[in-house]
Amino acid sequence: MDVKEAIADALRSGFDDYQEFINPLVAQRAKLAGEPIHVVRVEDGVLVDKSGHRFEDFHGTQAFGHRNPHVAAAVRAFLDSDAPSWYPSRVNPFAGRLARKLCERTGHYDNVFFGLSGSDAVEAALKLARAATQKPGLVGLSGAYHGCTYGSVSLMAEGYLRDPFAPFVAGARTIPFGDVDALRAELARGDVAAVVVEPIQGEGGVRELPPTFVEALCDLTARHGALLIADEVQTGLGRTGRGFCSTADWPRRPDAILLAKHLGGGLAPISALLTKRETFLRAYGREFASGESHNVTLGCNALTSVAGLAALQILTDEVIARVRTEGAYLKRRLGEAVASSALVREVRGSGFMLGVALEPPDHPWLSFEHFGYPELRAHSAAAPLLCHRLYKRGFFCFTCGHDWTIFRLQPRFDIPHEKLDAFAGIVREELDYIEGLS
Amino acid sequence: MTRLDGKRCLVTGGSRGLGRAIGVAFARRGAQVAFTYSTDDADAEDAKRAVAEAGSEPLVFKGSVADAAHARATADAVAKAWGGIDVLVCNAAVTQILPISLLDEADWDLVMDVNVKGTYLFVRAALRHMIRQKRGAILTIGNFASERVIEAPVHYAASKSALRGLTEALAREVGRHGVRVNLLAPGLLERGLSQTLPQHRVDEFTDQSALHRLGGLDEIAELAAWLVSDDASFVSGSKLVADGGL
Repeated sequence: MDVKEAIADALRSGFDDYQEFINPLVAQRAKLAGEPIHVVRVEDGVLVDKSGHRFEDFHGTQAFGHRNPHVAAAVRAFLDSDAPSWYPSRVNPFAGRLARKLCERTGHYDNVFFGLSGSDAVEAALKLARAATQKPGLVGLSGAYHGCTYGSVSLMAEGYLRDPFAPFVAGARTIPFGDVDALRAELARGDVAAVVVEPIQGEGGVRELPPTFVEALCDLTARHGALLIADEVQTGLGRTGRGFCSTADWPRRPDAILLAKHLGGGLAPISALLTKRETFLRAYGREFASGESHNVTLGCNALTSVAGLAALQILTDEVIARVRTEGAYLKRRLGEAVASSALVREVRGSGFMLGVALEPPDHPWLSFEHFGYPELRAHSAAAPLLCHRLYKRGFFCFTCGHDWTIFRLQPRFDIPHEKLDAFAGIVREELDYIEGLS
Repeated sequence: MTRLDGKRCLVTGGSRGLGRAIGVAFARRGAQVAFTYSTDDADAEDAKRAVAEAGSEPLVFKGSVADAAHARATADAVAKAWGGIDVLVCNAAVTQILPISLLDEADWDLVMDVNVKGTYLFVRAALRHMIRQKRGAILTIGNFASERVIEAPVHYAASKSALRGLTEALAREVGRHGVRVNLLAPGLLERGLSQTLPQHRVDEFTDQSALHRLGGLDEIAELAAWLVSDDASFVSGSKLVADGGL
């Protein structure tokens, strides 16, 4: 079987293989929710299923559109070259170039650690903090989502993403979201290595940290010698329209920021922890051996680095400016479109990281209990219902993992303006439909 | 083993799942097999190969069963190629797992179009040939969802109930021409709907059924072969529920 046949074979049988050999529950959930599953190709950055239906993907990992041609060409060119992808010495020149470019774009950081997933970066940050401060405490906020490795999950909001995995990493603890007094009290204990925050919580409901909390965070972490770690996996790389990262205008730049998602241009899995060289050396600079105390074997590889370099080339300041203006436009249009809907509480977020807070539908037959899933009765069906309706209209939207009343929108950066208009109208139509069922 | 030697059989929705299993089972018993499919060419190619390996180089037709022209053209093509149609299995069906609150008019229409209208169209198209030759066997594929009080999408259950009515009335109408009409209602099988259900739902089913397991496609295909064979020559207007004893 040649490569083309193998691809065709995967697109035919691989969906069933996924259900049989990977995760039957995910496959079943997708079917039950009516999600577009059998997508088989990409046209102009959007997904196309085998019946020819097109879907805009609002997940956010594909910020440059699926199979972005510039990123694909860069990867293809690398593969057509004779350069190695992995270097046994670990001194990978492609990773080095990407690290330099990343640091230059932030205008602040000068040291990078590469992983393959957002969780890799979070894990690296937690270890960096402990190694640098020699303190055990790891503090997160309620409603957090930092990934699914043990360090990350130890800072996770309670629920199905965290609870099965107890006990958690010793020293990890959570304070209420935006609670300055709790932060102050926690840091006063003197044992905190790091406070880890998302500038805008994604799975927690597209919740932005209050400015007063950010001010206190920047001040208090510095005063108590704890690292301030901004998990910008969701908010970074232009997503909020506020710049390359969303924390550049904080009163103090975080000691470390974490990037992932579209860092690999949507084609390669790569994440990065950006910090200052001084912090890195404080953690790992005591001897040569400690320089490799934390590593990810394939974290520095040329293939993903080339994809990352290509992604940075297309993530221009102009693109980020467009995210800011078009995001503001979408937020305003959505706000206008749904203003009179009884199902909508609020449209919030920044740039192309938006959330629509929904009221639970006021009818028992629009509940998970009626749908035959009483085990989910604690969750609102509001956002899943809206997503279900929007699949039919060609939009692949999402529900916040910790708060099922929030409908999450993270479009690609080059989504056409008219599509945003159409989307706002469609959301209103579908909300009206759902309201009409109540 | 039940034999179907020389029987000219047309199976709708024959490219995968139960339809494919029926095609293979019929071919293995000496039947000539034709089948229809709606969208997936690769699945159809696979099914074609499987039926051929079982002993019959099949005729294959692509189209929607809800398209009257497709039904007519398919039945006519089979009759022209083989001189008649002895067996029609109306297997093509769709379902969507939807509670009634989310069941759109379009969803209802789709399921009724494919499951009920599609059966009616193919039955009518094939009957022209069967009545002329004064013999034939028609098998409609129902589902235990219309026979038992279980949680099932209401449009799907309704469509399968409609097939029971269609089967019984048609059996009465065309029996005088030597055409038998029966309905086979499978329970939850290893492939198909069961793969869409959460494991605890599947467990509920197997816990409650007498045989404590899911059915196999081949087990249902065996029954289909028997129902359309001459061994079942005195069986018409019947429904056979094969659900493991629910």
